[in-house]
Amino acid sequence: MNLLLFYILAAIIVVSAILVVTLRNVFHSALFLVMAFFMVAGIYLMLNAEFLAAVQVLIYVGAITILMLFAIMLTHKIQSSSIKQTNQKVIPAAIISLLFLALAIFTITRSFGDIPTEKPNAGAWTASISVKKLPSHDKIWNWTAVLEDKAGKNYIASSNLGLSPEVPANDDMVQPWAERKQPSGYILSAKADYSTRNTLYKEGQTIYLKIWSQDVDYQSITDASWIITNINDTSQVVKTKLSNSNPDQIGQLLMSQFVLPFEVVSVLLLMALVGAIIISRKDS
Amino acid sequence: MPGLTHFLILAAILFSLGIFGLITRRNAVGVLMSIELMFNAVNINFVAFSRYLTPQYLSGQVFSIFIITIAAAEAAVGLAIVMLIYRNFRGIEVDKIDYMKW
Repeated sequence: MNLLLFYILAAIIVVSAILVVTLRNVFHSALFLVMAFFMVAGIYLMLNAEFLAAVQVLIYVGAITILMLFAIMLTHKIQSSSIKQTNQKVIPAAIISLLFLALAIFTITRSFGDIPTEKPNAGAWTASISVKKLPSHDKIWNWTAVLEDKAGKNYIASSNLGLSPEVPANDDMVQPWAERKQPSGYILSAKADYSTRNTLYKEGQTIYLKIWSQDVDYQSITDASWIITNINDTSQVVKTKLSNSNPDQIGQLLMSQFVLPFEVVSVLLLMALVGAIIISRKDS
Repeated sequence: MPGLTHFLILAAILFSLGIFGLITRRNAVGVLMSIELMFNAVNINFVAFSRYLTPQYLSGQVFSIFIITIAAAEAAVGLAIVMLIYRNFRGIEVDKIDYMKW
């Protein structure tokens, strides 16, 4: 089903791209470019990049191709199809591009042909944390964190986190308790919130847990909270849906790790737009 | 579900079509459109790698956003240059613009 959808999208993209580079009428090429950009947005949706698909439609379809249509219409002479649109280098260009394509496909299949099937997508996971009071110890609780996907299958094995009620030695309110390397390559760890010293595990108290994996560079992928309703509870399971939607994560990356490139590229965009205005002014 | 190589090969086809258009087009706007096709191929590559190799870490998609921004800036400046060339040369065939050749 997904494969069929991919092939339909890819066929439309390739046919539109061929028409973009071969049609005599440049105006029609620009319209087929719009079609190709729309289908590339569909490809992004298939790759779980919803934010990027929206950006693609907004910027490429909404801004860039419209700008090109404006330029084509302002330079009116060029859109008559009587003018030859290609130069004499069609056959060398075809040879070069086919050679590049063959080289790229050879390299891709040699290098990435053995990439296993897709890894679980974080957006579909559910974190469940079960808390258990051990019978032998009065105040030691056993925390188990499990990440499961939509189908309920455990992608990541559970991790037992021993949590003792003593306030940690350092003054940190948040103390990492356990990190365990999982067979799937992820590290689960949990943090407990010691917001109330010496009065841990009262009834009605909220205990916060963070679960994250190593692959997200110690970025929390979920926060779970658990309220002690009854101090004599022996077991309780907290289930929380992971709130890492795609725009959310991209916004966090843009504002934390990529904040300097973000600012630089915004300045560059401003400079480019001012430069474009200066270039196209009449009296320049 | 299509694998990583599906997306990479689609991007390679798109990129080589962009190369073809870049070489053969006489129209400057057509050249810019071919460049946009190549940008899109690169973006598909970034997003596919981000999805299949590091699904938890979306830096590939952030890079794609930067590329889209650069493509917007490039299109704005390129089309401004096209308009200027059209005003000065009464045409935008790139093989007739040999003003800087001696």
